[in-house]
Amino acid sequence: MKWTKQEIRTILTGLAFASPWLVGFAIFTVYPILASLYYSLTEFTGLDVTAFVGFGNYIDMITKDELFHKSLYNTLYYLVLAVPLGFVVAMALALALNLKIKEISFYRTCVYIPNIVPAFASSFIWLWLLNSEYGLVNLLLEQVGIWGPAWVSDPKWAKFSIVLMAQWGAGGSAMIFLASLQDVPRSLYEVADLDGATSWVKFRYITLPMISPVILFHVIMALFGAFQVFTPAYIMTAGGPANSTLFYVLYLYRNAFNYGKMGYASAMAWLLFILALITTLIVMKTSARFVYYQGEER
Amino acid sequence: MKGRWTGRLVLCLAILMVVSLAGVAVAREKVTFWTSHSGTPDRQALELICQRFNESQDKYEVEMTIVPGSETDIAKLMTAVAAGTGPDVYLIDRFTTAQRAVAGALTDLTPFIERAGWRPQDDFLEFAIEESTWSGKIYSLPFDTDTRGLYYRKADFRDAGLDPEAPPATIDELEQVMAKLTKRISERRFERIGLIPWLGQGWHYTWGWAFGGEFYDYDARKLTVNEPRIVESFAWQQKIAEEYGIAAIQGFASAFGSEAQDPFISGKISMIVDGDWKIAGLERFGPDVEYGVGRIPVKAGVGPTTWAGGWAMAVPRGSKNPEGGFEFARFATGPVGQEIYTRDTAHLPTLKAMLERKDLFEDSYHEVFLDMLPFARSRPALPVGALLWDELTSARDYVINGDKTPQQALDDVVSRVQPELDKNF
Repeated sequence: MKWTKQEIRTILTGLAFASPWLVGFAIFTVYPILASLYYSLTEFTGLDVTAFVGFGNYIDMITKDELFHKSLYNTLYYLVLAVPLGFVVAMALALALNLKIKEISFYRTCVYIPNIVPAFASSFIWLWLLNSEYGLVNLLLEQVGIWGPAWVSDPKWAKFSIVLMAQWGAGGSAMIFLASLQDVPRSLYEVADLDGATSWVKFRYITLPMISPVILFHVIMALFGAFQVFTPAYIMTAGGPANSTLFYVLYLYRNAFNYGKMGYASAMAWLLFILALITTLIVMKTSARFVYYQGEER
Repeated sequence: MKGRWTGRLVLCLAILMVVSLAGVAVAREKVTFWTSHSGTPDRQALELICQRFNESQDKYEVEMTIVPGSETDIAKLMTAVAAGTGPDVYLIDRFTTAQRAVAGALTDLTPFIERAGWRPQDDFLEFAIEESTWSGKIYSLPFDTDTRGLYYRKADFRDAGLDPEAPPATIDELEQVMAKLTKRISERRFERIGLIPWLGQGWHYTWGWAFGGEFYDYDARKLTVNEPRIVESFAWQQKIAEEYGIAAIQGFASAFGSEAQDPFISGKISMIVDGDWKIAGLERFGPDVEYGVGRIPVKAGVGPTTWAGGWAMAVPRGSKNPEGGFEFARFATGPVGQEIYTRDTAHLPTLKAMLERKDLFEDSYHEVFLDMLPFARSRPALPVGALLWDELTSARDYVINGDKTPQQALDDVVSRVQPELDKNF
C-alpha cells in the first residue's frame, strides 16, 4: 500500500506537533536508558569510564557480592509482605468508604490525606510514632499489656516496621478501588438480592470479578513500587541496623553516589528492570484466569 | 522628525555601550563556592570568610551557595561536574579526597601550589595534609579538624561513689566504672547506662586505635582491619552488648534524641565518646550539666589516642575559574579563614601556627582537645574510604547483634574492600 501525498502530510504535521514531546522523550528517556546499558558494561565513576568489563559487573553482583544478595532479599521480603497487605488494607478501606452514610465524604478526605504528606515528612513522623520508649504505637500496645519491640532499631523488626508504615499510604489505592466499586452495575446486586445471596457471596461473585481489572492495575503498580522502595529506609534507618533495611535501590544509590561505582549501579538498575519485567509478565500471563473485562464471554 | 528619533536612538545605544563597558572593567571574576554546611554557626562563619576574601582583593569575587549533601554523599556535586555546571570550590570531607580524586571529580592542585612557590607541608598538620594527598599529588587544602574525647557527668560519678576528677583511663577501668554507673529499672529496662561504646563518636576506628590496632599497611598496600588488635576491639564491644543485652540497649537508645533530648544532657547515659563540637551543644542545650572531658580509655599498654577528621577545600574538575578557586581555597584555609572558623564554630585549626592559639576558645574544655592533636590519628587516605567506612560500620552492627563473630565480620570487610582498592594500583 502506498500513502498518498495528503496522508504523508497529515503524518508529518502530526509528528511536528508531537515533536516537543518526541525530542524530550528521546533526550531525557531513551538516551539515558541506552547510556546506562552501556555504562553497566564498564567501570564508570560517574565522570570517567576507566575500563570496559563486559558482563563483569553482572557476574560479580550475582556470584560475589554478599551485600547485593542481602539487599535483594530485603526488597523481596518487603515486596512479599507489602503488596498483599497493601491490597487487603486498601480494599478494606474502599469497602468501608463505600457505605451509604451521611458524613462519608469527610471520612474519604481523612483516608486520602496521608497521601498528600511528602514521604520525607511522613518518615520523620513515623520515626516518632514507632519510637520504642516514647512512641504512640508502643504506648497504645502497653495499654493492652503488650510490650512493643524497638520497631526501627531492632534488626528483626526494622523491615517489618517499614512494611507497616507503607500502609499509611493505602488511601490512594483505596480511592481507586472505591471508584471502581461504584462502577459495578446496581442491577447485578438487585438480581442477587432477589436470589437471596449473602454479602460475602455478592462480594466474591459480583464485586471481585467486576473490579478485577482495577485490581490487576493495582497489583502491578504496587509491585513496581515495592521493587523501588527507598525513601523510608534512606531517611529513617540509613539501611541499618545491621543492613536489615538495606533495600536494593538504596544499595544502588550508595554504589552510584557514595562509592563512585556508577557502572556497577547501572548494572544493578538493569537487573532490577529485568526482574520487574519478568514479574510483571508472570502476573499478566496468570491474570487472564482471574481478570474479567466487562462484555467478555466466559 | 524622523531624524531626531534616529539621533536619540544612537545616543541611547552609545550610553548603554559605555555603561556596559565600564561594568566589564570593574566587574571581578566570579568564583563559585559550594558547601553542604547549612547549620548554625558553620554557615555564618563561611559567609564571613567569603566576605573577608572579597574585601581583601580586587581580582576575584566569591559567591557561596548551600547545596544538599553530607560527608560521603556528594551526588549534587558529581552530577553538576558531569554536566559541566560544577562550582570552582567545594568543601569536602577531607578523608574522601583520595576517593573523589580517583573518581576524577577534583582538580590536581599541585601545579597551582608550585606556581605559588609554596610548601603546604610546612604550614599544615601532617595528618591533615596527608588526607588531602593521593599518590603524591595534593587535591584539597585542609580546613578545620576535630578530635574525640570521653565526656562524663561529674554528678553521676559522685552519685556512684567515683572520683569526679578521675575519668577511666584504661578499658578495664572503663568497664568497672560502666558497671557502677548503670542503673536498671528491671531486667530489660534501664534508667541509666554508664556508656554505650558505639554511641556518638565511638566508631570502629575509635576503639580499634584504642586497642592499638592499625587499619592499613601503606607499604604493602593492604588493609589490615582483621588484625588481632582490631578483632579484640570488636570482641570487646560484642562482650558489652551481650552483658547488657543488645535488645535492651537498642530499646533504650531508640528514645535518644538530639539537642535538649540528648541522652548525655538528660542523664540517660553518664559517659559518651564524642567530638569537641559537643561542647557548643552542651553550652546551648544543657548549660547546667556539670561535666568533664578525659581522653579516650585505651587498652593497658597502648599510648594515648584519639582520631581527627575535618573538611577541606577542593577545586572540582571542570571549574571555569580554577585559579580563582585555588586563590579562595588558599585564603579560606589560611590564617584569616581558619581564625574566623575556629573562633566562630569552635572547630580546631589545621595550621600548625595556630595550635597555641588557645585565646580563640571561650571555654576551658577545648584545651583538652587541642592538646590531643599531636597524637591524633586520621583515617587512611584511600580511594575506597567511604566504602571501607560503611563496611566497618556494618561489620560492627553484625558483631554487636551477634550475627557474626568479630573475626568473620572483619575478614569479610577485607575480602569486600581489598579488591576495590587493588583496582587503583
